[in-house]
Amino acid sequence: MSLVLEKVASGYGRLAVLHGVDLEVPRGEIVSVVGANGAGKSTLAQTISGLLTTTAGTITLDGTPVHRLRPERRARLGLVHVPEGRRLFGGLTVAENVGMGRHAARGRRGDPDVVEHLLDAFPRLRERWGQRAGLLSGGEQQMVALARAAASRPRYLLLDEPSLGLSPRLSSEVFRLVAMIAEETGAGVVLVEQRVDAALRLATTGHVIEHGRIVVSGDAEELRTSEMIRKAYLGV
Amino acid sequence: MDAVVSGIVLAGLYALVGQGLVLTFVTTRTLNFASGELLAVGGFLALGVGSWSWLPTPGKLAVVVLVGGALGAVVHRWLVLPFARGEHDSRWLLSTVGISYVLLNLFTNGEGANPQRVELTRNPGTVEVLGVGVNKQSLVIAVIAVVVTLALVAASRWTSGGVIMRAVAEDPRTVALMGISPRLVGAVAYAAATALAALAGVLWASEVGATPGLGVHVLVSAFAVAVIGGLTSFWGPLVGAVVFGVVVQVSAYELGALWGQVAGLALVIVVLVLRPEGLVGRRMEAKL
Repeated sequence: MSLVLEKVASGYGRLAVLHGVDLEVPRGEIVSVVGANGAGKSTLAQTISGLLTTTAGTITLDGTPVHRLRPERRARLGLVHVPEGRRLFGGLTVAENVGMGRHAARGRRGDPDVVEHLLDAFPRLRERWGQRAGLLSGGEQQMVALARAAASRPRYLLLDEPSLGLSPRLSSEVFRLVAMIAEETGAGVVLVEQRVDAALRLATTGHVIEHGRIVVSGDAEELRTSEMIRKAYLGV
Repeated sequence: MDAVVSGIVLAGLYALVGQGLVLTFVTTRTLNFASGELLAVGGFLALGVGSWSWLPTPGKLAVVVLVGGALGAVVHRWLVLPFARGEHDSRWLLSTVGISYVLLNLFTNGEGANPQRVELTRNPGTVEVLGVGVNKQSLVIAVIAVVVTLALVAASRWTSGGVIMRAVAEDPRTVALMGISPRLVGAVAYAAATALAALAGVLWASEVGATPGLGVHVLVSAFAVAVIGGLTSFWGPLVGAVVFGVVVQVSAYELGALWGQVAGLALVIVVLVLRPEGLVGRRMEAKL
């Protein structure tokens, strides 16, 4: 069972950004997509979740074609997207934000719910449970976004720059929780990140995206340690 | 004092229709400018179902409200959705104003312009409120407006539908990522708004008779009331209606009938200049 992209193209209106992306994400595995700013990472995440229209190619979820479905239908199938910048509902409480995530799990009650475990692992969210999400710190907001995603009982989880704007310490906390969600739900994870090293450490497979194309794919550990790739594509 | 009390009581009708405007604005950032004619639809439907002697009055009311709601969903699907494809698309304004004229003319051709007596929910006579004689029907409408407002405020705070609505108001794209169709939320809001307009139509037509133009002035005032109070809060129309009603009635009383409406609309402009979000409205939440 896996999430498969074949020759996927998309963009904004007439501006094409992705040019034939192939990607396979097996359940239970973390796949990182790394690349520079403007390489098409967010576009990729938004195309998979349906916020952007797939203009060519196919996306299948455990064999079901989903690239023509609206984003809400894809979410109901377990394709859960944590968008860039978290996009919490700032006027809603933490509890209400997490409750919003639960709607996507309707009809999939059999899938594991790890919200409680997540709250045990990051107890501060419990203290903030009745507070408006907009008043929380960046790190806490990212945790709420993860809890909201967990409440959707993901089969596949798309994470767009979860470490954005966070301190290195908080980022590693976020990555730790992502690994926990992946392990406990058995979800396949697509991790789109600029923090190349951390993202590749977490993943089993890594892909480098450049100008809307996947240019290098391989074992995450090999990519991470390859001097040539770091210099040529990642500028680190 | 007379003018103040009658102003407050008359405002109920505007508040009721204004709630509908808030409902659709909050969820879709659009307004149904055919609400006035849908109010007239309510009036004529009341006329139609009035002759069904086998159905008790609550049943007749339910029929009117449900048909009104269904029409709202139709308006949303065919006249709003295709013409509100983004922040900068305001063609919905033309399409809803357009259908309002079409309906107005259809009714005038079919029913004539003379008022027809509606018996459903008629409450003739007056009652005394604070020593002022108040039209009974207006008082009923005002009470219903308050009840509807309280119900909407409570629902938006404590029901999951209310949470969804507040979330859609902030960020419909992200709501879709939660497995909820923002289009469906919009359709429900339109249905509820139109059901309210139809209900207002029945109540108002029972007072003044059903005419094709029943809702024209009501919509203008309801819009004024919603803007004064704030299009982003369910308290808005009620607060706006009281302020608007009092200003209109007092001006009319002191300066003459013509000046009443003028003062009311001048108030809209003053509010828009000094406090564009309305008296109790919130500025749009900053996106996170």
